[in-house]
Amino acid sequence: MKLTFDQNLFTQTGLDSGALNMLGALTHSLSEPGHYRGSVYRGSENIAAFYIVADKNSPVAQANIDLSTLDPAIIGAPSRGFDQGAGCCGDSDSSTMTQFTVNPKGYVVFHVSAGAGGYAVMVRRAEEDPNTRVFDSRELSEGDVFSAAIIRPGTYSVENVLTNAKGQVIVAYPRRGETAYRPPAPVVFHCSANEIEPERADLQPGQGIIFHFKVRSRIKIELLSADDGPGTPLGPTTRGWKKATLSRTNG
Amino acid sequence: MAHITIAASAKAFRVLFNLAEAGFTFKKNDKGNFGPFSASYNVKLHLSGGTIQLNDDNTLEIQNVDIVFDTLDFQLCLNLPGFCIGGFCIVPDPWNGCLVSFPGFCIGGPVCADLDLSGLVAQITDMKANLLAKYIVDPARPAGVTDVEAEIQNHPNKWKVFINPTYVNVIIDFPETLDNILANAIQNAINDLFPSWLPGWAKDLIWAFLGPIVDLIKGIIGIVGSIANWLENLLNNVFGLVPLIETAIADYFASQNSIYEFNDPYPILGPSGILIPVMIPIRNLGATVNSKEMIVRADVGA
Repeated sequence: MKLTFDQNLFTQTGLDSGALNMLGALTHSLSEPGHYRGSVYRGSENIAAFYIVADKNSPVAQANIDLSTLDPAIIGAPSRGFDQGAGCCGDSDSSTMTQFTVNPKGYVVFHVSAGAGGYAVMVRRAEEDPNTRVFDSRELSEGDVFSAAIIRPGTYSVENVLTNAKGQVIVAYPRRGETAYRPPAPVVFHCSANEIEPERADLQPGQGIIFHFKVRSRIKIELLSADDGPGTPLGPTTRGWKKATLSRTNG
Repeated sequence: MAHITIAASAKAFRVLFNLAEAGFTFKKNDKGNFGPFSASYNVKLHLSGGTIQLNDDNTLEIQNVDIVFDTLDFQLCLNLPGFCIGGFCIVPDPWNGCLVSFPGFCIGGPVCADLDLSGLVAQITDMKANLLAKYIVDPARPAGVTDVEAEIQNHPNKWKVFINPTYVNVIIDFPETLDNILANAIQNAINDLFPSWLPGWAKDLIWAFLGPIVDLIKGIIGIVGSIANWLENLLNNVFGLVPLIETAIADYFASQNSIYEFNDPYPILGPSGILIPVMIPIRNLGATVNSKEMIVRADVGA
């Protein structure tokens, strides 16, 4: 028996909206009905592709696309070297590619449920010029949302690398209270040409952060200094138990 | 009037009881799945001590016999719901709902805690009984042999006197400290599941998310009240451990281990040289008690 732990969850401390890992998610609304083709990249390598059908008759308001389930390295499938120029919907690849459906007024949420991550996503209309991108996670734009949950306590720098605007977040060390801890409501950041607002935020571990954009953006969050807490574990310090001296009650 | 009358004083009867009591052992294990949790136990016990009172109404009363748990292992397995980080709303809808939420990630899984409860105190608080004489034909006695041959072959028929319980009451004391004992066991079991690479801050975060262990256990299992009461109900009523022990004790004294026995026919003179043993047949054997002694009466039959 074992608890479900993914080591990457606890060893990755940085986030990059252009290299998504387990701690972050990207939200995009396709707006227009049609067929879309998405490509997944790790670094510059195109590792997977998928289709999205934006169907105005679809009741799906949120399509979660787990990029790790498309990664051949994780699912054990051979990498096929997906070409950004490959066709759609009838071409030789399409029958084996994963397809998602969403209402065009709904949202596609790209996230990573396992593994080291580092994924970028590009989406274009399937039937148009392959170079006409409608979404590029390395260059987010107005309407896109980057959200994340930072769990490692410490001080982080926040930077929009496309505008050089900077900010800071401080994640507090967890405290064991009289009730089970649940993170407070997420903090919302707005990224404009010159700034990230608020410039600084104090967070609790696992508390969500949500970035909205008015300009083209790519958010990088890096750990500046770790907070390793008081040094005394919050968990049990006494192992096992000794037979207690039990009192006898008359029943 | 009976041909034979034998008496044993109350003190001698106590010795006979203690000899019978020392032969009792009880072993049992069981397991069950109860939805949000599963549980199993393994018990081995014996009896020790106690007081005996002989009564003039032909009954005897045994009290305060310690039930000593040589083993009482209990295992509780829970499917930890764990906790999910994320799940917060990314895009709210105009009606205070949520259009899009962060998928997040969850930590949880099955965890089992082993409890050594052999320190629990249990007793036969009260056992009421009378004496019962039974005629037992030795099942190993070869067919067609004479009583003399059976005696020589050590397979004689016997009259046996048993303590015949009419009421047995067993109590296992589940102290309130079991709440902490179980909480510690679960806590240690979770801690043991933490992989070695897990950093200290991550452990602290997980403990913070899990919250107080007693509350966690109660929440998962749905315990209202104390864990001690829940465990008592589980073992006593759901697994039926106390009735099983009571039945085993009653069955043991009533039919498995007699406090005294007589061969039938009863040898008066053993074999000597070419002479066969001299034996008298015992008939109508009965055993009673009064406040002073046990009395066995029998007739010499044909």
